[in-house]
Amino acid sequence: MIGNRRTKRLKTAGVYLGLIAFSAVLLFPFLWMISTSLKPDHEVFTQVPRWIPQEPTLDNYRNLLTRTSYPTYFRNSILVSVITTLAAVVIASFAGYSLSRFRFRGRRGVGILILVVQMFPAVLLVIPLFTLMQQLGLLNTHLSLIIAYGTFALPFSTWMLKGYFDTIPTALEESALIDGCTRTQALRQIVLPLAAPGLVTVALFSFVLAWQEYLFALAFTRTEPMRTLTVGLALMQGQHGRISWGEIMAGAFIACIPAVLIFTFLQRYLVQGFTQGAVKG
Amino acid sequence: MLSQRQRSKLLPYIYLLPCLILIAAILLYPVLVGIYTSLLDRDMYTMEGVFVGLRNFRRLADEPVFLLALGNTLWWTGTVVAGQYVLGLMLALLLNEDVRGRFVFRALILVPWVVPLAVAAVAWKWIYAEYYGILNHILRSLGIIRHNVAWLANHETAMWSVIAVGIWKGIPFVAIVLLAALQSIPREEYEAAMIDGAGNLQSFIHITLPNLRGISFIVIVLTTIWNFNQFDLTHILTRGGPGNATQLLSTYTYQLFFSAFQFSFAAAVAVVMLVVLMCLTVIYVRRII
Amino acid sequence: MSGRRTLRPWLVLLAGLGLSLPMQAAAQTTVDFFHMTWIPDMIQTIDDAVEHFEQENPGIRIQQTRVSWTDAPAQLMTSIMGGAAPDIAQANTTMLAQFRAIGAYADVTDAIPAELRESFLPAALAVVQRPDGRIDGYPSEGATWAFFYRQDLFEEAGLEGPPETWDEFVDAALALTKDTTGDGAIDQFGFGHPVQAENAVEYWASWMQMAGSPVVRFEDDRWVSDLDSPEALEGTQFMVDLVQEHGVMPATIVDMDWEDVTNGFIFGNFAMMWNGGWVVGVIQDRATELEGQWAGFLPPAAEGREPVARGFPTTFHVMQAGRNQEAATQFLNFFYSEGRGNGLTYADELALAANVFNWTDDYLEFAQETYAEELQPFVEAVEISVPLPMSPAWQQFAELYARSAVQDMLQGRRPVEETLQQLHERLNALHAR
Repeated sequence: MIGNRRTKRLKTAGVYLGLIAFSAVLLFPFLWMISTSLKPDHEVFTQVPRWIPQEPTLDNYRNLLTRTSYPTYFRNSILVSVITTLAAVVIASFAGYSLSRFRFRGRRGVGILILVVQMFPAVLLVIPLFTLMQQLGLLNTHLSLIIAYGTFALPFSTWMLKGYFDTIPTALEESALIDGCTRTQALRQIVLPLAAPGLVTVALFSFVLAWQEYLFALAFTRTEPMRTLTVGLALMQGQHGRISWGEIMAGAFIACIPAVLIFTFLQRYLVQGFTQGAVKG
Repeated sequence: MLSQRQRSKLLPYIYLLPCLILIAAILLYPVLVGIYTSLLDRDMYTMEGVFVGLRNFRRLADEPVFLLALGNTLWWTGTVVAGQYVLGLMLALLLNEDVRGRFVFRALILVPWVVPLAVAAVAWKWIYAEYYGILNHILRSLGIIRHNVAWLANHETAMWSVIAVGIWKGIPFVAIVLLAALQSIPREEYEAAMIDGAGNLQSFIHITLPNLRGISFIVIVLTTIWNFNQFDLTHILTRGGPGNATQLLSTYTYQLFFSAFQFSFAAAVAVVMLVVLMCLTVIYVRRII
Repeated sequence: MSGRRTLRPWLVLLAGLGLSLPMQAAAQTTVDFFHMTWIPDMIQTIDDAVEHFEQENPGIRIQQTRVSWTDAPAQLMTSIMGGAAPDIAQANTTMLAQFRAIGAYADVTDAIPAELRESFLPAALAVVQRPDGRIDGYPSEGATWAFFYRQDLFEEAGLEGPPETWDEFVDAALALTKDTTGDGAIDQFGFGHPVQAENAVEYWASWMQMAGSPVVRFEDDRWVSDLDSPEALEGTQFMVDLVQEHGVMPATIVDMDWEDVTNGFIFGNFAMMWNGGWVVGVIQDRATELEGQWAGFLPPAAEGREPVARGFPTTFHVMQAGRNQEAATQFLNFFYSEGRGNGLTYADELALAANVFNWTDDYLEFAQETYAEELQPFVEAVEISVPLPMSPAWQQFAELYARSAVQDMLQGRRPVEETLQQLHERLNALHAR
């Protein structure tokens, strides 16, 4: 018994050690970015690297939020990413469910097509899609980005949800169908709650995809009020001259917050209890 | 009106319809345009272009960079995908442990995935910098190196340095997806195994891994596709240099298309990429659908 | 039944999409204006000019699109091919040549007021004038490049004043290259210049220009490579020798951009460097402790030649595919003639905000009188400056072949003569298209 407790404690210690090691490596550049964001310009580069600024300052944050269009970029990115996420989750749920539950002609073809279309380098898609958006009159709208990102998120989301649905026993839905539920009701009321971890993953994925995208955001949006974060940050880097790295790093730091925050709230749906409860209930 | 039967026959297609319409318009259509372009001689001078058949593909042999970039791309994709998967799995297992504070760790480790890449790449450049970079500083003070290493400037280290950033970037995604899968393994399976006297390792091999198989296939196929096409990281960090040491097919295509405006030739390289990727992945895909 | 329920998320989506659509502009002429400014004072200058112009011309609206330097060619090409070309676009030199070759720029020879046209410096006119003599652009703000040296390190090495010829330059660089910490590795190099990414080709071209090669020539109505000339070889060999023969520039320079080299200069890793005029302000901001310890100087001259500097304006162009050429020209003429009432035009203010030059003789005079002492070598450089090669194939050539070749030559991985010959053939093959 005592030995058992000791192994358990040792294991916990090992887990913490592992988690701390991973976090240290994964957060290393990020901490450097935060450190830079708190430095005045003349401290950004020093001969001996300095983690703690000698004269820490919040000027970079103040300038970023008051003297640049950063708040606009941020708002636009939130708008685009949230709507993209909703769209991708809804559309992929239906598509993934279809691939998982039905045996129909062309099923395998569709599954493979969805994967294959994203194997082409994105740079070749820019001009045809730009032309398309121009013809649809969608240039310089957020809608153009939402349509594009929502679609880019579909291959992963559809496959991911198909994979999740595959692991959920069909018995539950079948009894619900016999009880008079429609398919859509069965999907919404029985399957989706059980696939919560998958939905969370897909939502997070779509959000981050939209949040991070640069190439198409640069092409499709044109005026300052429509620009998104990645484009805004890239434009701040300019070509040469007095680039305010502190402000850019501050901007990148703030840009990390929404996704981390969203995931903090969403991750309880990753927990087993949620699905277990539903299975039993 | 459709009968109940007809409706249920149509249902799978109806569910797929929004997805398929979007994919057809936003992904399939430009891909087809791209494939068609690869058969023309379209460049900045001839924006319309005339049909030249496979001439662009024959030209690939004249460009030594192409083969070099193909080799680099396979090297890059293989190591990055393997690194992301193995480390991501390890991290997922750790995050799945029932320890206090795991929620904090789960949220924090997302950062490499969500941080704007263009800025993170700059931070990495500084970390790798020869004279004032913090990596050399740390390694020197630990006594691991005597002299500064120019990580991104040496042929021997440049590719590995870029690969490290590629792995760093992808670990959180793999970890979160696998964590979600780990969470959906019924606890009863482990409990039953425990009663049968199975150790941690045995449970891992006989319960965890088989349960992760489906998701792992998807993750590996997708990370292969994405990393094969990943261009911005290398584009920002090295632009393919020193020389062509870190030149990938993706960066090469980008340069051909958006700097040289050799649209058709770029499209030909892209078609080759598509074919190579299909060979790499479709074998797996057929097994899981 | 179920149909109505599933509709709900769609309605939410549609509502969201509706919100994100922009307001439709009122019916008037809209001039799409692509530019690459990023410094807050430059952005402000353009905003002010636009506001001022719109007040005076109520029928015209200027819609600004800021594009990043690195992505500008891709952006412009995408817009042209997608049928949404801007009316005015800013260009850097290599991009200019590329787009000029496909007829993207409108001829503005007769639209530019004679007085303005005559004020363009010869080096600027060389950029905006096509081989047939027609003008298709307005020279705008642009930098010059010159050398920098650390006076304290020079004194330490017993050197007086900056070198004026290539021979003196190599001697000085040798004397300045040393291992200051005694750990067996050289940590102070005599010289450095950026070789990362596009810098590789830009500086290489300048070395050849200093040795007397035009790099590309326009002959019999077509562009030909000059890379097979003895001058091109001399310049290239000199550059490679700095690393391979003399060891005064580190082989790891291939991963350094202008900022890395500037940092190396500030930290004493480079006793001399070649860099752009904007670096003056950067050193002043970041290295106050170095005040009075450094200065700029004109590039040393190759044997038996006059010194040559790199320098060129960026340019504004009225686009051929734009729909409002007249209004576009009107705005540009306004931009080059009106101002905030302090004697400077908006075009002047734009250059001033970036600490560079507007390439007119008025502005040169203004810079000579008002620019700080440290910037004067860069003002001098204006008059001996040469733009990057203006061949339409240069950008392609640089990106696809030359960047890697230059880096490989510097690292001793490819022989100079043979590589130059190969590059010469590549460049001419691109010219033949």
